[in-house]
Amino acid sequence: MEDPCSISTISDGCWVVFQKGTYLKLTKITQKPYMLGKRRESVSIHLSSAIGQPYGSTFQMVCSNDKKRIYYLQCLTWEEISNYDLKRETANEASAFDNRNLLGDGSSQKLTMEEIMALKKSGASGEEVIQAITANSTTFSSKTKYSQQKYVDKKGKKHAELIVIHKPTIDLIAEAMFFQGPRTVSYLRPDSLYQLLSYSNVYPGSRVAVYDSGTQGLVTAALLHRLGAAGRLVHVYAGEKALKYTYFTSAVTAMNFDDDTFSALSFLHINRLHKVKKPEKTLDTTLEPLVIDPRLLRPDAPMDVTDNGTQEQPHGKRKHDQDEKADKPCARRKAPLMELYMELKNHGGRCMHLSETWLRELQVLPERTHPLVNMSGGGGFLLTGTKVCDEDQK
Amino acid sequence: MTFDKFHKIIKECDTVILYFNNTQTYALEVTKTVKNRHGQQVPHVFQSMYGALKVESLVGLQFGCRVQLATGAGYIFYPTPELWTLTLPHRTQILYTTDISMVIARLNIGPGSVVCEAGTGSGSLSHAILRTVGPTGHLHTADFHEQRWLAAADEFKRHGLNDRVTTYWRDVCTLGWPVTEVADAVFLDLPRPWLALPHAVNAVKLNGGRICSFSPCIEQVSRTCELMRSLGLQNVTTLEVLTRELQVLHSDMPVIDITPDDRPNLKELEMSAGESDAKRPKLSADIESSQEGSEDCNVTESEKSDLSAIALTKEVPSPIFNGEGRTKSKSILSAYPKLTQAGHTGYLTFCIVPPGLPRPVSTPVV
Repeated sequence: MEDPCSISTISDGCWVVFQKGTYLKLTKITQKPYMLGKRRESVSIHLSSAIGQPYGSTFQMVCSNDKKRIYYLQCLTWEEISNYDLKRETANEASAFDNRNLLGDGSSQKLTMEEIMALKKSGASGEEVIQAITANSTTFSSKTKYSQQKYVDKKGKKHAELIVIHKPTIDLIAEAMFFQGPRTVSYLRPDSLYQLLSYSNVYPGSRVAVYDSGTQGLVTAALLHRLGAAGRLVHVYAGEKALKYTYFTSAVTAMNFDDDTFSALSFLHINRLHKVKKPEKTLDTTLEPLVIDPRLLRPDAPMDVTDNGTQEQPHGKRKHDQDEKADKPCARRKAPLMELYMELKNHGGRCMHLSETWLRELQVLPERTHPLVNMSGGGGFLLTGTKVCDEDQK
Repeated sequence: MTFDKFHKIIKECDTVILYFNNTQTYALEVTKTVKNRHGQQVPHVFQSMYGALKVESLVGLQFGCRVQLATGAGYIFYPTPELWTLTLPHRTQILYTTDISMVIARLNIGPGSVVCEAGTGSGSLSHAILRTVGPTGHLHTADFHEQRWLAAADEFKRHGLNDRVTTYWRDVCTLGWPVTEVADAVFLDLPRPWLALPHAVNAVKLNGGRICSFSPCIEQVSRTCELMRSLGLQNVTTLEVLTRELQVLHSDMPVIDITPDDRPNLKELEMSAGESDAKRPKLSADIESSQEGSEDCNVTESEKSDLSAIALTKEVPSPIFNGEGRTKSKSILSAYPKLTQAGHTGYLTFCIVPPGLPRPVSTPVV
């Protein structure tokens, strides 16, 4: 069987993660141009020009129509990328020891906004624009070397034309989705998702049930990736039947799973859970059962899931909860999980832990290492535990 | 032989987790006998705080069952890599699940992945990787310490993971891995990761992959990041991740009964006590009305003033300090942060090896 992940070239109709600087976006390769940026400065990029190139390649945006700001992509070789980086070096520029002579009166840039726009429209490359901006900055030479680098990087973010098209892997999808709006994934921060995947003990070929709502199928996609084609994933859903199909427009679709992996996924309405029958033959050789609730249900609801799952396979079932509520922005609540903690503890839950993760990214540069100025304040709470055998089953 | 494939009934030679509570959790190997410190084979009995457990008696029980000991009961859990991390014999400092989860996910490890690791250490991360890659994946793990290498190799064998792992006694900083261009991901937990980094790039598949380096100190990170960038590795990201654990319990919170009270307060009473007698009857009446049934009491005017004096010194019925308010409390469900928790484990630096990246050094000789 050919693993879909081993197909390593960008093809028409496939999903990709588009990266420009720190900007990440999940998108699909189509013949339609991809719109990037805010209204006035927006550009359209023909992503289809990347078809046939390997995933993870770096491309340069090349202008094909000055007036309409239409770009196509040109794949860069390794040498071209390293040359591109070298051009950014400001080693030979004059620089200052400190900023004592730096005055911020707003008059340092001699180029006007209109001139810069005109320069860009005239077909100048991003690097040329940056060079023009730095050359016309009267204070550039009185900045320190580090400050110059920061200035160039800042301008680079706006005017640079290098983009990377990644294969949509679960970590990039999770990050792109969280980056685009934490609300769209019910504030499930990637690191919380990763903890959930570990504690659920999901492995290739295991059997997992998931209640995943309000995360654009992110949890389902992540589980399916870890399970592989040999596993079984039952997606338990509530509400309208049609809802389950929305998953095919989300993270699950974006993973470009092959048919074998997709066939591991099945759907079950929460009201039908009681109909799940205990398998007749002995379970010694079957796989470990699991119930993962990546989203908080009302305390009465998940117990149904647990009980039925128990009936199916009574041993060491783990149950996880990610505190989220799709409707409200203040979704990162822990109170419902605290209640659930007590409830589960009284129903055979052991080794219970309520936790949250704390994540901080650092800027690591020579002499300039420090944590990033902004960090996420919360990525959700996680309740983990192990379900033990009922006393009478011993 | 428990880590490779799930089964429900405990067999001989299985590794099991004996759980009493979150701090008393132990890994046991289900064997009839065990070597004592004199090298003799003696019956395998586990001594816990709650009494002795004859380990062989677990055979035939099912995972998740309760075991009753002399003074308490525990549970037998299936050994997940997370529980193993909590109970494994330490040969080195180990990585814990918070970091492990981040490493596995950001290295994009999944079924069938090929992973290179250095060093093996106590095998905490290795077990989690082996669970995730499954029978179709493979882990190449190297350690330069002979005893650690032997111990880890033996452990993998006993855990039934032998088919999906290759262990090496090898210094990857100088020699690299014996395999090249096969790995989807490389993980480095070394004192000088920058020495192994070019070898790590060589180990990665030609169509790209991921590398992660774990270092406790920022100076190591600084050097590693600089080299990563100069080798052309992309998306170099350094982060820290910690778990904040919360203890959930019911606790009592005192409730203060606040009812508006217009009676004069203590200071006013004191002041008025020193003033003319003319005001005194009014004061006494005040106290009178507040004490139930005091009107029925047969007290003289002078006694009333005595009463008010007592009230001044100790017994002014204040709404805050009355007996009723003091006993009132309600039970609330609360989550407390732990008094101390891990504040730092290490910095995780991730990067992406782009497809077609020129390999930095020639293939090392095996």
